[in-house]
Amino acid sequence: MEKNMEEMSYAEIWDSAKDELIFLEPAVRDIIKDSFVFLFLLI
Amino acid sequence: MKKYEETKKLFDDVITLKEPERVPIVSNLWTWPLVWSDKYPLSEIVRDNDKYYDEFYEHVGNTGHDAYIDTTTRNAMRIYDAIGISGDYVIDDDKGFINHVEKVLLESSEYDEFIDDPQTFIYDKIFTRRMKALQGSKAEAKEAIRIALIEFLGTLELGRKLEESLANDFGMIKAYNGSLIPSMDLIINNMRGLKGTMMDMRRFPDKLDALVAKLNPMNEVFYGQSISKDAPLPVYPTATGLGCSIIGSYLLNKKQFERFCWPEIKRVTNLAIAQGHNIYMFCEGNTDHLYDLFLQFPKGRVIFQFENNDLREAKKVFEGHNTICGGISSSILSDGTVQECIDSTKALLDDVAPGGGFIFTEGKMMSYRNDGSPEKIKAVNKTVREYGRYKGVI
Repeated sequence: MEKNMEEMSYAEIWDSAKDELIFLEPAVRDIIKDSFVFLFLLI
Repeated sequence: MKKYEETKKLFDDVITLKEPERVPIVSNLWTWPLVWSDKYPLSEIVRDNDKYYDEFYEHVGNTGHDAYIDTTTRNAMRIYDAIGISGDYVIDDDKGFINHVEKVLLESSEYDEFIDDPQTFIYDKIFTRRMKALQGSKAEAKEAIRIALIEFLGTLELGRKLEESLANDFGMIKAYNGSLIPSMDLIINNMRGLKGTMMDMRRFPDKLDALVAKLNPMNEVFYGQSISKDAPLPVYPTATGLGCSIIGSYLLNKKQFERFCWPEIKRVTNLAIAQGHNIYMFCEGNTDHLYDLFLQFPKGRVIFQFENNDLREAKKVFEGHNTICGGISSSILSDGTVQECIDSTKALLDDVAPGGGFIFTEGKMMSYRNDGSPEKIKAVNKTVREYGRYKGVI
C-alpha cells in the first residue's frame, strides 16, 4: 500500500519529487537530485 | 569551430610548457557580466534566463577573453525563489552588486548527528531550516522541490546554451569540466563559518576529520563522472578536465591545510591525472605558504590561478614545473585610468610572460560594478592579445 505522503520522511519526499521528472531517464534523475542537494550545501 | 580549436591549442601548449602563440586570457568575471546592463536591473536579470543569457553573452563574449570558469553556478535566484530561500543574497540594483551572506548550517553541538547519518541530517535539518517552502505540509514541500528541480534543469540548460554560443561565436573555451570543491572549503564557507571552523580545529579536530570524511564521497557528484575512465568527451572539450577551487581553506596554516584539506585534493587530482586529465587549481586569497605542496604535482599538468600571490615570485617558483595564471591588480583595474591599466598589463607581461607558462586574468573575482569598466577590461585584453604575442614583441 502506498505510504501517506505526510508520513514520509523528507528523504522520501525528495525522491518522490525527483521521480516526477518522467521526461528524464531514472539514472539522470538521480544525478540531478544529488547535484542539486550538494549544490545547496555549497551556495 | 576553427577559432575554438585555436583557443584549445593555446591552452594545450601553455599547460604542457610549450610557448603558445600568445598569452592566453581567462575570464575572472563572476557576477560582473550581469551588472552592466543598460536594459534591465540586476534583480530582474538573475530571475530571467533569457535576460541572463543576453547580458552574460554580451559582457563575457565581447570582452576579448579566451576562456571562462563560471556561467550560471552563482546567484540561481529562480531556484532560490522556488524552494523558499531568502536572505542569503543581498542584491543592490543601483550600485550593481550581489552580496553573499555567510551561513552556518551546522551547529557545533550537531557534529555527531551529522556524522551518524549525513543524508538524513541534510534533508531533515539543514534543508528544512533553510528552505521555507519545506516548512508546510509534505505535499507542499514535494511540489516546491519538483518546481525547484525543474528550475535547476533550466539553469543547466542556460549554461549549456551559453557554452555553445561562446564556443561557436567567440571561440571561447571552458576552463574545466568536473569540479572539486574540497570538503573543508564547504565546511568553512557554508557549514561552520570561518570562526566556527577555526575553533573546531582546536576543540575537536577528530570530529572535523570525521565530518570531512563523510563529505568526501558526497562531493564526487560534481567530478566523479567527468574524471572516470569511461567518461564521454564533452561536446566542447574544456581546457582542463578537473577544476579544484580553494575558496576558504587558503586561510588555514600549512599544517592545518595538510591535515584537513590536502589529502582530498591529492587523492582526487591524482586520480584525474592518472586518467589523463589536466588540473585547474583556482586559488583564492594568498596561497604562497602552500607552494611546497603544489610542487608535488607532476610537471606540465596543472594551471594555478593565483589571486593575491606575488606573480613575479610565483613565476620563479613554478617556472619549468607548471603554469601560473594571474593578472592585473584589482586596485588598478578599479581606480586606474585606461592607460594605467594598459601600462600595468605590459609591465606584468614583460616580467612573467617570457618563456610561456603564464595565463593572464583579472587579479580578483569580478563581482561588482566598481571592479572595473568594460572599457578597461577590453583595453587590457586587447593589450594581452597584441603585446603578449610570443612571435613578435616579447
